[in-house]
Amino acid sequence: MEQALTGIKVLDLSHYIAGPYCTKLLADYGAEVIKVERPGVGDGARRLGPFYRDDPHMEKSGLFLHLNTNKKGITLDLEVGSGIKIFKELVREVEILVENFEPRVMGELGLSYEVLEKINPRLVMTSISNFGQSGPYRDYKATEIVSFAMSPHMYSEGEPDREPLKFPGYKAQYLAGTYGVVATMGAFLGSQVSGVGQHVDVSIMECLSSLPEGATVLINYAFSGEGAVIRRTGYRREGVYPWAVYPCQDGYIFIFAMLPMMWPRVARWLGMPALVDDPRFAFADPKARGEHHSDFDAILLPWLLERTREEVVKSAQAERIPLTPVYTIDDVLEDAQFNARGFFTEVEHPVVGRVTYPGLPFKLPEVPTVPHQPAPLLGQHNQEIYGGWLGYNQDDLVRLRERGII
Amino acid sequence: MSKLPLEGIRVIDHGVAYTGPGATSMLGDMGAEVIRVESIRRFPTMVRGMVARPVREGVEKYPGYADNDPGSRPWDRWWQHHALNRNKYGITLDLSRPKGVEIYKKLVKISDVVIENFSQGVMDKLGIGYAFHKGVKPDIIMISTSGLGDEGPYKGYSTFGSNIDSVTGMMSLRGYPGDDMMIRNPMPVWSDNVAAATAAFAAMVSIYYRNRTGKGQFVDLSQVESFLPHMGESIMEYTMNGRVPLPMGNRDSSMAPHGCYPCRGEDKWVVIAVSSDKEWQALCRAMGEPKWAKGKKFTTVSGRWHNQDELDGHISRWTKVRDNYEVMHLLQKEGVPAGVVTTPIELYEDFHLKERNFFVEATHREIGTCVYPGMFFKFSRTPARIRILPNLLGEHNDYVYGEILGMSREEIAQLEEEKLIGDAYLPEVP
Repeated sequence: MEQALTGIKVLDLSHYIAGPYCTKLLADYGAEVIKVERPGVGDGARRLGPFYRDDPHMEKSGLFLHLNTNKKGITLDLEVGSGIKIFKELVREVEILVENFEPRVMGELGLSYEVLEKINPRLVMTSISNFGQSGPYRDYKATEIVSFAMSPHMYSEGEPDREPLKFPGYKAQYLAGTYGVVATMGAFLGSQVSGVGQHVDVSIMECLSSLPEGATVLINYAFSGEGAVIRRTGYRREGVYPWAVYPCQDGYIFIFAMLPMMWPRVARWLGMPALVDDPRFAFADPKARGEHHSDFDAILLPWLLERTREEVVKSAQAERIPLTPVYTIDDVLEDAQFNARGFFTEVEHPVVGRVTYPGLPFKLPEVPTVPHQPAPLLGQHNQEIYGGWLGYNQDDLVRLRERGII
Repeated sequence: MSKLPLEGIRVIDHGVAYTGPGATSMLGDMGAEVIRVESIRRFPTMVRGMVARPVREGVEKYPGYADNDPGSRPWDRWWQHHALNRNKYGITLDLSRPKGVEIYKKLVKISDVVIENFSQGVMDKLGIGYAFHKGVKPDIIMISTSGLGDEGPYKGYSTFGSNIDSVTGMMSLRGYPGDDMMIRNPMPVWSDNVAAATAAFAAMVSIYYRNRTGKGQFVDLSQVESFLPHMGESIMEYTMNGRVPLPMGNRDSSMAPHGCYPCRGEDKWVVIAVSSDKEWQALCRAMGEPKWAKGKKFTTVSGRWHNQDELDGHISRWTKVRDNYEVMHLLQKEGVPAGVVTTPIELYEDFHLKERNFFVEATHREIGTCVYPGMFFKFSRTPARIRILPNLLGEHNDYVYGEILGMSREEIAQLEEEKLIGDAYLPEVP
């Protein structure tokens, strides 16, 4: 069925997280994405957990299954001449190529953009790498923690008297994938007008230092000097409140209401109108307000502990106070809002069966929704792609398999 | 110079705070003509200051303003605006009056995309919701971003920054292993990054679809839903195995050593991640083959993982007497993933980012010389650059009303006279 990006063909050489999330976004909105994996071994993400029922099988990685929905999978050995030749035949057929190898790799394989653009002048080739295709750190090695450290963010994350903290999971790589798809779509739309593609160089480090959040941290320092650099403040910024996680009767809530215009709302919400003019908390007297942070906590905490999370959220939101429940992952799956909006989706996979996955980041009302196709088994679409696109017959495929090319 | 990829696409930017402005700057960076609509009557949230006129008697420094100085046009000197709003034409227009809306219609008629992230209901209250836009231009693409979405039981919920993290489950996972849930840091904020890029992507997906089918789109983009796929594997752990994930801090499920280690000086750190026996041997080489590392318990992947407390202790003792940059370069030379935990100061000084020309030094009409963070991508054939610096309030009124909308000098003067447009906040705006 016609989807938003129907008609766009993508050759996906990427592996692990950043490249695959970029191509997942294209695939989930209807582009035809052909994922190319090494014969027998496949994408390294197949070896990363969590695994279905803790069985570390290459078709059971939850990370891989999530990142590779709606893609077709082929195998191809790029380290031999026969494989390279087949790859070049495939490149001819597509609009977009995405890879996230270390920067020296494509050149070493003889598949640099300079070579590929001669085969397919309209090709948009996106290369996502840790530090970019050039520069002194070009060949530096990185994992998620390294990428996150070399950004404006890790320094501020954690407790003041402890080591800085990385974000859970693979947030830097997912972000690079999201930013990568923005640059890819932009270059692609341009190639549709001009008839010519180009090479898109995306660096994880630069994504994290870019707008919006990275850039604001940097500019804040540029404008106001060292005083503006947010060192780790821990769970509360002394004197700035209410702005923290607080417990209530049956869970936790997070409140972000430290702006002056929210104080009257807080007073109304707590049923304590006297707070508005209470000199201990006056915004006009920052010193006093700062000194009485604990006094405020002593008022808020007992009030919260008498009420359920649901009550607290509803009553605060009725006063337009930015207060939300602190969910654990099971809460997220139970949440009424996500379920009402149909965010989660069930996907049927030949090996793990039916499982609930995160769905689309946004819906397009004019485009019919279709169920997600599962991530491909290794080499699942060899016949369809090599046969359908390149005209190879069964004998050809058997030969290629026997020689380890696919 | 070659045409930038999105040249010919016109975007109306109603963004406030981070998401809307970030998304439209990304499109502007790639060549779209972004027209940012502001108002001299209404002071926006987290864009041009906390208040329009911050100067108070006795106060000398004003953090957040360029050089901590509000000057005579404080709204043109605020850090958030300078970080987020480049490559845009800035106009002012009073959309609370019918005449303003009539002029706005002219702009909509010749535009492709409208992006807004006001609180839920604001656009509708002004009478310029999607129905209005569609009436003016049937194939208009409108992206509306909000914390939780415009539909559903929590629609219209007020959310800022880390509120998104609390609802996605991210906040429950941000922490040191074994921490109490109370100990959760409200900074840094991250979700706006994802929402901004997702909104830019949604706009381009919609443009491609419109080019093929002639149909526009209204996209109700929930920041939380944009972010949830970034939690994919945590969600799958629960949906596949029924387990609720807990914070892992700087530890990894299988890599060891893997963590953040103190270096010489105050608050200086380096992160190290060893993912194989080969990298372990390289680390030992870099540390000068210390005796403790020869222990059998550290030779294997499993051994290192099970003994990581002791391992971290040894490594910390080694890093503590060394400069963090020295450690990074030394380890990288041997092929070990390692990185400095950088401060903003260090990023501005970083010789790799300088070589990459990531930062852009420019002279701004109001604030003078400024070094702006640049692009997160490099296009080989049509290089992107900062073509328009963050706009003064109403800076491009003449250009947009005159050149793009074809109004005469007299007509524009009349709009200024009626205070529908202007280049300074009205005196009654505090």
